[in-house]
Amino acid sequence: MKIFEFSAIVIIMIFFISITNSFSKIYIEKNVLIEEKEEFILQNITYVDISTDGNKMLFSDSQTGVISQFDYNSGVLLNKLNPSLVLSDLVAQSKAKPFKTMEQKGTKIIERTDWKFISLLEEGKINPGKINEETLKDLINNIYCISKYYNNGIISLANINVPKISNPFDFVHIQTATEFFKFDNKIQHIKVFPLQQENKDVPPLPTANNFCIFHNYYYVTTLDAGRYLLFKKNDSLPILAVYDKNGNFIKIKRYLPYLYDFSNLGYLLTDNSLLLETDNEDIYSSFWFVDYIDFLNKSYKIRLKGLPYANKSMFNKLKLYCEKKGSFDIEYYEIHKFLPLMIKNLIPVHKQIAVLSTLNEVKKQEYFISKYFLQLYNKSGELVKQDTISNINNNGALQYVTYNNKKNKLLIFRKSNEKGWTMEVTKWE
Amino acid sequence: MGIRFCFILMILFSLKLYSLDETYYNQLRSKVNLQKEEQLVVLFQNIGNCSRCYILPMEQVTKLKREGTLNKFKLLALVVCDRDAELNVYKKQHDWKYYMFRDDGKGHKRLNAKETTFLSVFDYNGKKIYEME
Repeated sequence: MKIFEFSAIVIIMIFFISITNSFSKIYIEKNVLIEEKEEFILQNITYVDISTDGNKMLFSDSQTGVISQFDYNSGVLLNKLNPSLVLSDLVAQSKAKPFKTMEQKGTKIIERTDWKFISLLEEGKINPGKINEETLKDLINNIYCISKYYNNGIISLANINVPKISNPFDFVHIQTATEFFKFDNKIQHIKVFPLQQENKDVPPLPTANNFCIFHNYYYVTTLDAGRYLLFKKNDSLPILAVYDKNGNFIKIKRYLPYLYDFSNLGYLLTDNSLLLETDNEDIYSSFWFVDYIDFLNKSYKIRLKGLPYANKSMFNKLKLYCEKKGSFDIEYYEIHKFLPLMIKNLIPVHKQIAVLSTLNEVKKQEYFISKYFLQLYNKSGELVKQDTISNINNNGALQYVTYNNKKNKLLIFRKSNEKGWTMEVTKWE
Repeated sequence: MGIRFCFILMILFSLKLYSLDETYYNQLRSKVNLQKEEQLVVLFQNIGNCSRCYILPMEQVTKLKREGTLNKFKLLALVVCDRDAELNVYKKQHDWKYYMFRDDGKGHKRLNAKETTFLSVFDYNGKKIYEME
């Protein structure tokens, strides 16, 4: 399709949608300022979980790796936790074991299983003169990726840098270990809950960035582009692994969707694009650029409707573009040229599922969000209602959207240089 | 003739796309009051970075100074963040006493650096004289 025809269609669709949504059904009832302090600045919101009584909010910021908890009604900061170096030692001293690694030497791929975690204190003794303790600590960048309320406490999925050595000993390596940490509801009394990596069929799990717990099973998203580079096998990139309540691996629940695999998009993205949510009735998952939501427990999917654009037909063109360019090393603005529609968030709303998606436009070599769409689907896949949300208003630029099911409010989080963070408590009719 | 002209235009256009954003560079230059004989040392930073991502480029600055690559220069950190409050977090984290500006995530591109670049050094006219990835 020619670029002018494409642009014209997009503009007409946007115009149509803005007319049909000209009477906004999202009413702001109150603005709540989210408290920040001199020693605590919230840079980014990756995820917000609401407590079962609806009175507390748990924020994840994967940029700084800090967990913070706020009072829902006042926005007052209740407590926070930084991802300290201690976490590395907690993992090293736990039952967690380093995963096997694959190394390419010439044409051979050598598997190594002889790794052992060591604590930071141990390191000073083992490797004197080669790398000192301070330098080693500089390499550590621990991050609480995402935290959720669970069983009257809090559980957090973290990427932890842990020193490891091999036998025979060469030098100290750093592995990113994905582990769960459990806390009480004041984010104290930390306990590590390691995932087991011993099963031979289990893929390495270098980074994980999302999870949900469904009927005592842990569903963890995984990303390991390195594995694909070694094996050149598309099926070597699993994206959702399941563990039991003891952290034992059960199975791979999902691989890349066909379109991601076929177009190579799955191997271009450096972030894990799997979206995952649960409301204890089912597990909902989707991917940034597809047009459906999977109900993983009951094994069916629903298609998105009423959006101004469908990416599906453009995956082939993306593939051809990469082939013509002779490289799969492409940037996000190039992806958005072909795939302008992106699902940002899945939000369970009273046994239905809301979908927040964006339409991205590309100008020169940059992309920006031109529109946010919020849609509500029932479990039969019918579109119940939809609306658009402004990118920016007096409270700043839109950063995150979720729903407080207990209070029946749609929550829109915005950030501005002047005001800081504001939570718009809204009624969505 | 026409085809040749279009071809030259296309080359000029693509050169423009992959070159330094002069307006942006001039803004930086004027904000730090860069003198003609001085170099501009730019650190590309994120608040969530590990200490290593700060220490390595700073060590490199010391090395370049020692080697004589850097003589008179202004040091500037471009920190990816949205607010001044976030910029202050960086200032405190590293006890930063030099120039620093917010980067909306496009700093690399505007200064014609790869996304993986930690450190770039420019002369007064914006010519890149050193880069560290």
